[in-house]
Amino acid sequence: MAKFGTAEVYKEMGDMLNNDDEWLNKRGTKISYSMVYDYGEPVDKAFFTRFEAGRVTEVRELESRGNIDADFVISGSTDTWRGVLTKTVDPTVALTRGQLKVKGKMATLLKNMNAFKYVIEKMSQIPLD
Amino acid sequence: MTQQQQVDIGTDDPEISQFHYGRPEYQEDANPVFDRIRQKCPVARSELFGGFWMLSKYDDVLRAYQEPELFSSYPNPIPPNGIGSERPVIPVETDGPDHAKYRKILQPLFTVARLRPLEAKVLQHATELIDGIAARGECEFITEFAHVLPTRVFLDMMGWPIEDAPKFLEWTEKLMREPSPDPEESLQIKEETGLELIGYFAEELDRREELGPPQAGDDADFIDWLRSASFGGERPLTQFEILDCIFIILLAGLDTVQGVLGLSIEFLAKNPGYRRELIEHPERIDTAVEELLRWFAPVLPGRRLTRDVEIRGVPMKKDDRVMLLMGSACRDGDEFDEPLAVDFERSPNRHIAFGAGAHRCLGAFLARAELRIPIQEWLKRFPDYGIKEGTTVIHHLSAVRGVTEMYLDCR
Repeated sequence: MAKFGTAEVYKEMGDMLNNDDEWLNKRGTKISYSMVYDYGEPVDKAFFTRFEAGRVTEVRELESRGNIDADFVISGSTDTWRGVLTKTVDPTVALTRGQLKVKGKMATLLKNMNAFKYVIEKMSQIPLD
Repeated sequence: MTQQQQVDIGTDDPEISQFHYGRPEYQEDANPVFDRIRQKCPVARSELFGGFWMLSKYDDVLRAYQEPELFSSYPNPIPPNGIGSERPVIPVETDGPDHAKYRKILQPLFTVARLRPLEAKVLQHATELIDGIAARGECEFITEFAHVLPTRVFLDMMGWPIEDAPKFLEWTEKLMREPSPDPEESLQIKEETGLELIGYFAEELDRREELGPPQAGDDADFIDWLRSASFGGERPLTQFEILDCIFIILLAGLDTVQGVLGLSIEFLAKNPGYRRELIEHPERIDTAVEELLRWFAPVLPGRRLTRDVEIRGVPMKKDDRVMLLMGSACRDGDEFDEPLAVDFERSPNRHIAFGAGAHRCLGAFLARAELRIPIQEWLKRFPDYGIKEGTTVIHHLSAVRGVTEMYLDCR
């Protein structure tokens, strides 16, 4: 059980992916990026994750959102993130309609969309507190 | 038995009750079954893909276009199929206020004033392609002309290099046809191809982002116009929305033009009287193009009912799927005099090949130019062309109909 709106969710995600053969050996092999998940009010926090050839090597809550150094920053309202993690909001629709906003190279994101969708799918399996 | 149950919806006719445009027997010509549906049961039902209604009369199809609050555009194809997007395709699969907002953004990009300069490009590409074909005296029209021309025009419209045309031709060919006999593999290839194509667009968007803020106003090119656009005054378009818009403009303008152009050139090859008419009366080209659009009305869109409704005594339920048989509607004798005759001087000709109402094709002006100019140039250069002896023209019918392969002797 991970507490929604905390780094626990992303640590849990890291544990799941780092023990997932399908991810490590197939789907995630090209994923070597740093990503920040930014939550609006009331959570109002941002979480940094680093992927190296699929393996999650770093997870932490950012102390400040100024000058975020990451390949991708995905930001959304608390409600949108909750919807994505509980599968009531389709992340691709949320991205299209601006409920989730992306900063970073669109071309890279799109080329790896299936891998990123797999990560979201795994995250939605995390029991939330 | 109630009166409603007595209305014939084609239940006892397997050709109607098992109709779908993907079936092999309709690939060459679906008009006989369309004509029978229209005459026998204007509102018919196919039991395939969970069941769907078919509207075959002009008035009913027009109504479906004019009442989008009843006939939702999402999802459009029956069954929903993969063209590289698993979300509603913007703007063609959006409804109501959202659709109006997207349309308001896109409309200024398709005005006559903005597109008129592309006519010179259409002529230039048509001439270049014809020159190449003339040198050999023969061609396979679809791969050498009908597919290439609208692809090049799209690249011109976007301001992208014409040298990229071969990549686009390969991508769009995979997206528009069945790239594998195995449906699952076919879908996978289409999804991968869709991502490759959108990846190309995304690289261009990334490049623009690095260059800085978009140019706004009438001088903005296609992409900067979208980057500077406002969705109903609420927010800028997201990058995904911009990508969707570019994607649909490519596909919508390509398959349809390719389809009608191929079918028209085949028609003129097989009907020398009509060919002679256009050579002797070039002033008839505009009405001829309208008649060819009516005759070949190439698209078979789908709709979803938003509430229960009764059409011609047939009760339908909310969320039922409805296929609009455009090819049938444009041959309806209640709207057109002598509907089964081709008349290059037909007037009036209120065909709905471009749809109608809120979802009417935005690119109609450009599509007409991409038919009129190549047909004129083709007839000037090859007045006696014909189907190559010993070959057969192969057609296809999907959500868009057209010619798959056509070898021509070009004289």
